[in-house]
This record gives sequence, C-alpha cells and structure tokens, in this order.
Amino acid sequence: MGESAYGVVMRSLRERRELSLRDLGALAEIDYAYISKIERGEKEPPPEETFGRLVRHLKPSAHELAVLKFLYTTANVDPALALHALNDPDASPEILMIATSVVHRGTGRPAPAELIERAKRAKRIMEG
Amino acid sequence: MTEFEAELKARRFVQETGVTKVPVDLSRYLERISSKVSLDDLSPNEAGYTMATSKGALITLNALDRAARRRFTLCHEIAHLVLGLPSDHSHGPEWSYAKRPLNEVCCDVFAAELLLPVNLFTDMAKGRSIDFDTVDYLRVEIFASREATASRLAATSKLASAYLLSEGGKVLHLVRSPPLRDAKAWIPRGTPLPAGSAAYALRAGESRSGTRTYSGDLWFDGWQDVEVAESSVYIPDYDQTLTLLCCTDQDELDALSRPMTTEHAKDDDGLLKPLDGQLKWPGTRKRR
Repeated sequence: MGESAYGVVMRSLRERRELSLRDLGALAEIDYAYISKIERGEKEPPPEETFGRLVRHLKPSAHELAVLKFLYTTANVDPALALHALNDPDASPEILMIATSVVHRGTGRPAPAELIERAKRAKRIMEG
Repeated sequence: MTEFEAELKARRFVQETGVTKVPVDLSRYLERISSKVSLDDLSPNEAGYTMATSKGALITLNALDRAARRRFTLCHEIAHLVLGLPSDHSHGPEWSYAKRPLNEVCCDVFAAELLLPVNLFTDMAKGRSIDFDTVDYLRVEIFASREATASRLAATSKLASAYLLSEGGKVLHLVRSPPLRDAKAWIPRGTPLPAGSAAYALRAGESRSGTRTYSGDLWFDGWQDVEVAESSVYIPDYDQTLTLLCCTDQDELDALSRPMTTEHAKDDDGLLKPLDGQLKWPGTRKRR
C-alpha cells in the first residue's frame, strides 16, 4: 500500500500536537507500531472504537475532525489535496469530495490549492 | 468497452436527445445529463476538466482554446460522464494521437457522434468530393474542427477512402471508410509518408495544402491499377499532416477482390490436372 490521505492527515494532526508515536500510543492505549503503520498507509483505517480513542487525544478542530471523518470513509483521495483541505477552513468535506471527483482533459494537473478553489467554484455555479 | 459499443451508445444518446439539425445545440446534451458548462482561462496543456457535485457535473473548458475545439472537448467530457469511463491522459500532449488509451479513443468516438451525428452528416456530405475543400465547407456548417470533420468524412464515406493523421512524417492514426475496410486496405502505424505523396511534399515545404492523384500502391500493396486521389494539409506548429485518400476507380478496386474467372482458370492449364478420384501414388501393396 502507498501513502494514504487518512494516514498523512493523522500524522499531521499528531505532529501539530507535538506528540511522538509512543506518546500517542501511550495516551490512546494503542500499540505505537500500529499507529505508525496506519500513518504510513500500510494499514487500513482502524476500527471505529480505536479511531475514536485516537481522535480524543489528537484534539482536532471541528473542521479537522470533519476532514478526518471524510477520509476515514473515502479511499483514493490525493494525500496532498487532503493536507491542503485540512488547513483550509472553507474546504469542507463536500468541497474535498468535489475536488476528488475531478476528471482532467489534457496533461496539465493543477496544484491542490487550485483544485480546491475550482471545487468551490463548481459548487457555487451548480447551486447558483 | 469497444469503439463499436461506444458508437452504438452515442447514436442512441443522440436519437433520444432528439437532435435534428446542425450545428448541434450541445446544451441539449448537457440538460439530458443534468450538467452545466463553464469557461475558464486554463493552462495551454489543459483542454478542460469535469467535477461532480451533488447538483450534477460541471464541465469547465479552456476559454483560450478555439471554439470548435472546445465543442469537441465538451462532447468528450459528456462521453466520460455517459459511458462512466475514467480519464487517462498520461499518454502525451493533448494534441498528439500517440498511444491513446482505449478509454480515450472510445470517448472520442462517442464525442464525434454527438458533434457530427451520422445521419445529418452523411446527408450534408452526400455527392461531395473527399478532400479538404469539402472539409472546410462542412466544418463551418457543423461548427467542428478540421480534424474531427475530416475523420468523420472518411469514416462515413461510401467510397473507399481514408483519413490519416501523421506526425513527424509518420502515420499515427488511420480512419477507414467501410468499403476500404472491406478491401482490407491498411496502413500500419509508423509508416513513413511515401515520397510521391502530397503530404510528403507539404512537409518538405512545398506549401500548406495540396492534392495529387497517383497509383494506389504508393500506400496499399497490390493497388498498382487502382487510382487514388490525395488531399492533404500541413500544420507546421505540431509537424502534423492531415490526409484524405480516396479511391477514384471503384471498378479496379472491385477487380482486386474478385474471385478468379474461368478465363483465368484456363491460363492455369498444365499446372495441375483436375481431380478424377484416382490415387496417383503407388498402390496399396504392403512393403516388406
């Protein structure tokens, strides 16, 4: 398995709280090696109960929690796009979903920030 | 999915939408799939993109592209949505036909049918010659690109004809009319433009467009007696040549595939004797 958006966002939240893998493992009473594998994308997202314990100690904001929950249930999201959405309070899970659905014509690939802006624009136009 | 299946689905889609005139009002297709279109200034290597929202899909096209190209792009994006085929543009620049993945080819086939519906197109092309004068007339009426129109003209022709797209002096893409397919005439990908062709001369800097008539074996093996008319245009920016070939002598073409006549059979007398049911090799006596 390659890097997963869910794992990358988990690691970002942990590092933001300045917790080591061992710290988080000890707080959540979960094997730190298991957490490490989730972060590296070598394990699927954990069962709900374990997910809840991790989230309790990562203390995400409401927006961060919404993004994390979206990634918990949605595969094939670009990790760079997910990280950008995590740091953009306006990039709701719905916006992230629209950005993930993109189908390109041509070889050009916009950066995550541009993709999120395009998704916001698409939502505005379709609802307007 | 095959190209044939994509074409059948496209014809059904056009029929169900009730398209009856050209240039086709593409908004009718969009309404049918609850989608909208918008324009935006995108980079030169982006023709467009599609995003799915809870209210339907938004197809965004590059405002800097030519209008005719945008129309084809829009039909191509509609194809992705209708056929449910994922996009794959990892093969190279958008203008290049090199190694196009099957999904993209199927979406191009679907798009061509949406933009140039076969019944309307064949009515307009009826009685016209297979050359770029006809293409230039049709593409204005249909509001489509020269490439899409030329490809369609060859594909729907009742004459043995072909549309070739060459890049760097080699054939990349071939579209054949049904009679040419029946004649089993084929030009392999990568074939160099033959020295006697108009396309070859245009690349050598002769001019931007030209026509020539010559013996068909310049392109097809065994076509010495079949006359072929060529019409070509050259696009220096991409080093691409667009070529239309048309067999002008259907009788000679028919003769190629005609079974041997009695007279021919007489010529073979003395080569093999007719079968008479008698075995010619030594009898059934067992060897010791």
